[in-house]
Amino acid sequence: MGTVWIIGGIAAVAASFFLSGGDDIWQSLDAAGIAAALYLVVLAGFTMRKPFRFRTRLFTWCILLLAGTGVYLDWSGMSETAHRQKESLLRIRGTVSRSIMLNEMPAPLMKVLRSYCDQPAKKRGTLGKAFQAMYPADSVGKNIHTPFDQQDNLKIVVASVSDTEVVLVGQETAIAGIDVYKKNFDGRAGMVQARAVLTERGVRYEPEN
Amino acid sequence: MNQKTEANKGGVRRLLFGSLGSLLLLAAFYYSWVSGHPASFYPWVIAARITIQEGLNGWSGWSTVPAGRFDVLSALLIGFVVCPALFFLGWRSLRTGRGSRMAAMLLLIIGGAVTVSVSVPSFPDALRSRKRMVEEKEQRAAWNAKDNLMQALNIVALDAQSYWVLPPAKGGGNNSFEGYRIPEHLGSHGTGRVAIVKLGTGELRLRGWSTAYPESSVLLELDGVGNRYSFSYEGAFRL
Repeated sequence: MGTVWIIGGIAAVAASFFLSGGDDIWQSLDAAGIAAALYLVVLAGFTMRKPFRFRTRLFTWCILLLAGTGVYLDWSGMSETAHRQKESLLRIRGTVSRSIMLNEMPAPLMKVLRSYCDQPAKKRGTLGKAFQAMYPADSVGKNIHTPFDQQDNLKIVVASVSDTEVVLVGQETAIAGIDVYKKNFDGRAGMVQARAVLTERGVRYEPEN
Repeated sequence: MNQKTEANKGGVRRLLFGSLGSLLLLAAFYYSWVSGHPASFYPWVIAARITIQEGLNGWSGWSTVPAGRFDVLSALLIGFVVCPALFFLGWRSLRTGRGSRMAAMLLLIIGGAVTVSVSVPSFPDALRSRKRMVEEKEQRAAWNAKDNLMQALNIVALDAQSYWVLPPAKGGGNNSFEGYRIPEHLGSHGTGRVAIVKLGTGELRLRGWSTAYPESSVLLELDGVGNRYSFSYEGAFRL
């Protein structure tokens, strides 16, 4: 009889765990936890029946209720804390990424702007030509960012070069931004992205996700 | 006389099994203490480790899913199915007098030791984690506000640098910050505002305030010639 109870319990809880499986471990754990709680209630009800006295039963149910409350509070608190920590880590990574973009993207454009403004007005030419003169190897579509290390997935791409405007787009390939549905420059969705634009009015920086 | 001897034997047996159970409990606590995982039987703690590992992987730019799902299930099955079942079935067997008394006692003690070690410490743990959660929530809100402000200040600083470089004909200051005004769309945003607190030919100081932390601020000092930035923080942002 005891073996049936144990095997039955294992089967029910394991089935709940696997059948509710998603990407998040907590989905499976919560489903299996509910199954385990129901199993414990049924098990306690079955084993605590007569000849156990009413007082013993009442005491046991009170202890079970208290223990269950403690487990529930710890369980839900831990779930919230873990998700918050994960979210926080990803947010910090996004912030670091945005800071790197803000540091890396405007710098070459500002350099071009300085050189452009330092030339006499009659000899200035266009912004596009000034950019190409300073960075002849950086054509449209090229990633101009040199990774800091193997974990650096940032790309800074020359998006467009015209007489009046030079556009750089910075995009992460593995770091999620604020809007998960936002279409990225390279066709992905939801990644951190920003744009730096050089015009005759200066350098503009636009965070996009 | 016989009854007395039987009662004594029962008492000795209970004492022996009680000591065995206590030793097992102590061994479990000692093991968890030495292994550095004070809650090895807690499935939710193992799940939390997995979730945080996912966060760390995301932080590193990796998309791998950490292993450990079976550890979670094993802990749940041991702590919430097998051991409580052993405990309740052992207790019932002792109460009804069916089956071996010694086996029933052993089931009761082993099952009870693990069940108690899983459920009892969860109360203080829950209280501790709630307290920590509130503190972290406050800290994180301040960090987010500070990061947003720093980004806003950096964007204004970039605009000011452009102003410094551009000639007056293009709306610039020609190597000076004199006359610089923060564009309206950059000066205030949903969560805060940025204002000029000091303006000189080659020096600009910008201060940002967050709506959520009006007593706190971030100061950015910008040197136009060398484009050197320096940040300083006030109030809750001085973390």
